[in-house]
Amino acid sequence: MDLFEPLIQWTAVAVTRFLLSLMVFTPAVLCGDDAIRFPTPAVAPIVAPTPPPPSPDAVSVLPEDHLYVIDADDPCLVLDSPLGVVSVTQEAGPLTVRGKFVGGSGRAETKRFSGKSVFIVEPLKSGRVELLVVPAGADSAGVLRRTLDVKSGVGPQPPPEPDEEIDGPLGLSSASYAGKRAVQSNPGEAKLLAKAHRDVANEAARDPFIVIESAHKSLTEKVGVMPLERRQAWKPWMDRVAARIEELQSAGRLKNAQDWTAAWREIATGLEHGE
Amino acid sequence: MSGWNYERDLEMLPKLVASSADVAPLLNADPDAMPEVIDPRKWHRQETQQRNDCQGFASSSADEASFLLETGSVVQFSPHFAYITAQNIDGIRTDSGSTISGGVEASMEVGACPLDLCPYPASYTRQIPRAAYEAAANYRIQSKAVLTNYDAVRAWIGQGAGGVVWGIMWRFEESSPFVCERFIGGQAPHATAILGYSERKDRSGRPYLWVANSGWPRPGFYEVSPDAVNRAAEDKFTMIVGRSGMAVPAPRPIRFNPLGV
Repeated sequence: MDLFEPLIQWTAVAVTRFLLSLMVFTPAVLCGDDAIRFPTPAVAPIVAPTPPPPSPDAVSVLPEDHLYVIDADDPCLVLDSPLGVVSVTQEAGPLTVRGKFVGGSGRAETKRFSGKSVFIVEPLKSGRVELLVVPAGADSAGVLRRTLDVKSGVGPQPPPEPDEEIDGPLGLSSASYAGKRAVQSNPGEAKLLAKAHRDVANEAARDPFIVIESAHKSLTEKVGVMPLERRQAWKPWMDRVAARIEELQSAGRLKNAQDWTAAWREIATGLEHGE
Repeated sequence: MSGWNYERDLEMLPKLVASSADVAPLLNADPDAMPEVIDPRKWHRQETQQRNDCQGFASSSADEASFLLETGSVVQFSPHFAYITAQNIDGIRTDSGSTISGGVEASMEVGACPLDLCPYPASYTRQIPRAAYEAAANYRIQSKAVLTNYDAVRAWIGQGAGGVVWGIMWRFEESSPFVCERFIGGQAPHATAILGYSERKDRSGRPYLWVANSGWPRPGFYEVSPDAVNRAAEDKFTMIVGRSGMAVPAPRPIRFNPLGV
């Protein structure tokens, strides 16, 4: 059997389902040329002869501590194949994000994305992944494809355990997910906790001068809407995450607000997994 | 005459320019990509000077911004330590001010000292405890850049590069207390720290800068209009320097307790 056959089948099914759902539920929207913006891989400055602009088909490299951001004005869906190499998070735009970006300077910087939908692609483990961007109302020829070579500290892995397939560079998604599984939770609680972490991460990404302790205080206030007895019921989750955070702090991997922003995002991903 | 002086006549602008970081990449950044507002009042504790040590207060405030960027935590550095170490570089031995360039060099070569190791003295003294020097070696600024206009200052802060110290002949026309609309200049050399930008915007949509002032004419946070900043930057007595990248010791661990239990 062709090794790629399951992948092709999976992709075809996913795209077909999405296209069908759009035909039923959304008006056809044709995207302009610039309606979906991808990062442009960095080009070496001022060399002769001038290099050609990067081809859309070129493979972009996504380093461990970088973000690949797709900025879309019109509704669309982003699929990643195979699963588990990157995480794709959709945020409502316009959105200001601080971090290191594919196509950026290589250093931490603040970027504003003006589209209505902003897709943040983060590395989970090393490997090659294809992104399929399906604009609403587009036919199969309108599907945009980008290939990423993900360079993560984590190498290619054997088929993952359920709590490993979502992990990020800090190992907090799996800790968060494992902790969640140790809790007898009520409906909606994991989502509430996840939203609190994601909100704090987004606030921190907008302000380079954020004070981490203030952000943690804000996080505690957001979580404080849960009754005390329910917060106590979630202590096994918190202990699991706190243990991993302690390890990261000892290793010097949680040094500043940027590191904590990534940590809060990973914790949220673990809480959202399986919901 | 006390409470504001910085020594403009001793400034080493050519030396500063020669070793200045390249700010071109910052200036190329899209202003819309920068945060809407950066409010230093959330973290900076207002201080009041009692001598001619405005440069020491401005310098320690800018270094606190750098520490915050590196660690996500707030520390108070000693204005008196910053003043005396700058004076040592300037060759000044009395309470008659210090230079912006001396202050930058002191922050890079000697470092910034936590306030508890060198508190503000009741009167001018040049005595600094040895422990203060030892501690300061752990908090050294890594780079600086001479900034020449409003856009450069806003980009420096908006891109999270660090804080800014400026020395100017401080005199503004205020539309209301603490809101400076027009630069007049010519009155008194004074150093302050630029630490953010506010919700107040000019007709072009550019935000006013937040300036932490430790002294004359009155201490507090000022909002200074973009036009006033540009006019001040053109003044021959003005010196504007951004500081960036503080080397810091390992941060204090933070306890993760979002559940509050």
